Amino acid sequence: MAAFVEIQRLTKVFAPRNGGAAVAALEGVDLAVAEGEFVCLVGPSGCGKSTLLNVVAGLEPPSAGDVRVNGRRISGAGADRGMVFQEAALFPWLNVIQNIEFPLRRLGVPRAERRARALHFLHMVHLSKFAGAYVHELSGGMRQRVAIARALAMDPKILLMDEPFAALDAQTRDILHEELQQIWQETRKTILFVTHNVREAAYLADRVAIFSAHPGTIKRVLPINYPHPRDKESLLIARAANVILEELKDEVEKAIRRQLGEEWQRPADRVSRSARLDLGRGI
Amino acid sequence: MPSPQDVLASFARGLSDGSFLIGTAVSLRRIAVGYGISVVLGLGLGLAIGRFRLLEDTVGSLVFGLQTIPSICWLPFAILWFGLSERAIVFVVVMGALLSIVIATDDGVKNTPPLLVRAGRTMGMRGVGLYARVVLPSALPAIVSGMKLGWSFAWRSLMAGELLFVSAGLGQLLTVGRDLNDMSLVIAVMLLIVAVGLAVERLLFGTAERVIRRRWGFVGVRG
Ligand SMILES: Nc1ncnc2c1ncn2[C@@H]1O[C@H](COP(=O)(O)OP(=O)(O)O)[C@@H](O)[C@H]1O
Ligand SMILES: [Mg+2]
Repeated sequence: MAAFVEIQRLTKVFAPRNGGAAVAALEGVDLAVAEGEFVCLVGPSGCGKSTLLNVVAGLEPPSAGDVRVNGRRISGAGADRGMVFQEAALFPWLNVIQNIEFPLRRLGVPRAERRARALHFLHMVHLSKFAGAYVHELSGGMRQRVAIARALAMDPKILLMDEPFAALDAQTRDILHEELQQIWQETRKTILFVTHNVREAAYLADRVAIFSAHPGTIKRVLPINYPHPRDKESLLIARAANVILEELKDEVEKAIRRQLGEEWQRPADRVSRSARLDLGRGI
Repeated sequence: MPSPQDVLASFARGLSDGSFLIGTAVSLRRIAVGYGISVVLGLGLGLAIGRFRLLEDTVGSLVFGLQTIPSICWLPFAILWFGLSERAIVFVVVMGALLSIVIATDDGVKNTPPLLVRAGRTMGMRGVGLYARVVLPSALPAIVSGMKLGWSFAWRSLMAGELLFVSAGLGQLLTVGRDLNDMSLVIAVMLLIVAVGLAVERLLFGTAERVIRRRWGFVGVRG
């Protein structure tokens, strides 16, 4: 039986921009995601994570290969796939509740139900008090909460999240991790979540897809077999994060070497030597 | 120089003999027609230029070129085309306001954050619906500031036109004052022009700017 989200041999090549070369952002990516699964995508920057999400969202057409959701090949963007971007992408001319209702109107949801649904999800992200506030009055974390509520209110089958917490401070991010885990358990959405934060990936994901760059492919898919809700402080999460980090290190180094050339070397030796020299100081 | 009392007296006389009221009414009617045409044409053209590449390359560059011509320079052209008629002066008013509205609208459309358009698309919106419900509201602050700029250009063009092209209106009252060598009348009419201009501006844009400041957190001034 086919998986809920079925990505097969997906290739995406961007046409050359003003005289440059064509960019192969993704090459032959295979990924199958089960319904209700939480999959994190990690990898060095520029390896095509956002591109993959954009193709699944229908914002970019694939160059080759196939993306199927629930057995149907996707064609263009649609409200069955909600997207949360790194910046909240809220509409400044609408207040919080109107932002959440906005997509519902187009979906033909009657007015009274629109309001009720919006309030329900606003409550879920703990912003009921801010229903009438405008975007410029909200903090970054609050804006992401609204963006999440807006995406959920459309009742999409899939939630696509592209580094949604990357621009937030560490404390806010930690709280939102816990809340997202809870929301996911309540709503049972299928989530594809891009991050470069290995702890975030280890904490949230059922499986972590680790990318390698140039061309962008999935190098390894790491299952994190540990029941939700999880405890962020647990050793298992830390261990999983370390495994991801090790896999990533090579990739990130490769990416940097690609950019800077062979001259570049990891300063690892120097660091460990100076660390040794520091031993015993201040005792 | 006349004393403030003289100016006040001229002002009172102008009000009581009806000449100020009639002048104001004539000027307001002209600007209502001219500015109304500018807004309709300007929004339509600006939205179309912002949307279609072909129009931008053709009409768009023409608009930028024409913008360098002070609108009163259109008066000889308008008189040759329409004759010494109301239409000639309305044409000058339109040329005063139209281009800045076109440019500001096009600018607002072009400055729509691509992220908002992408967000709209992930909600299943596209085409005209996306343009009307995402791009247009996003461009609103720029459009309002362009309309306000257009308003002040239109008002100035009208006064200049009425000064040169004698037939009623506030600008013509200035000419009367000059012909009578009546400085206090001239000053009184200038004060009236300022008052009417500001009052209409407040009336037209006060609410819009308040709403924009409340929602966006800034006044819609751009460019
Ligand atoms: N619209 C585009 N046009 C051309 N190249 C693009 C475009 N979007 C992304 N790319 C290129 O594709 C590669 C992958 O980008 P992206 O998916 O954003 O990576 P990531 O999200 O993993 O950092 C990069 O080399 C980037 O420069
Ligand atoms: Mg990215």
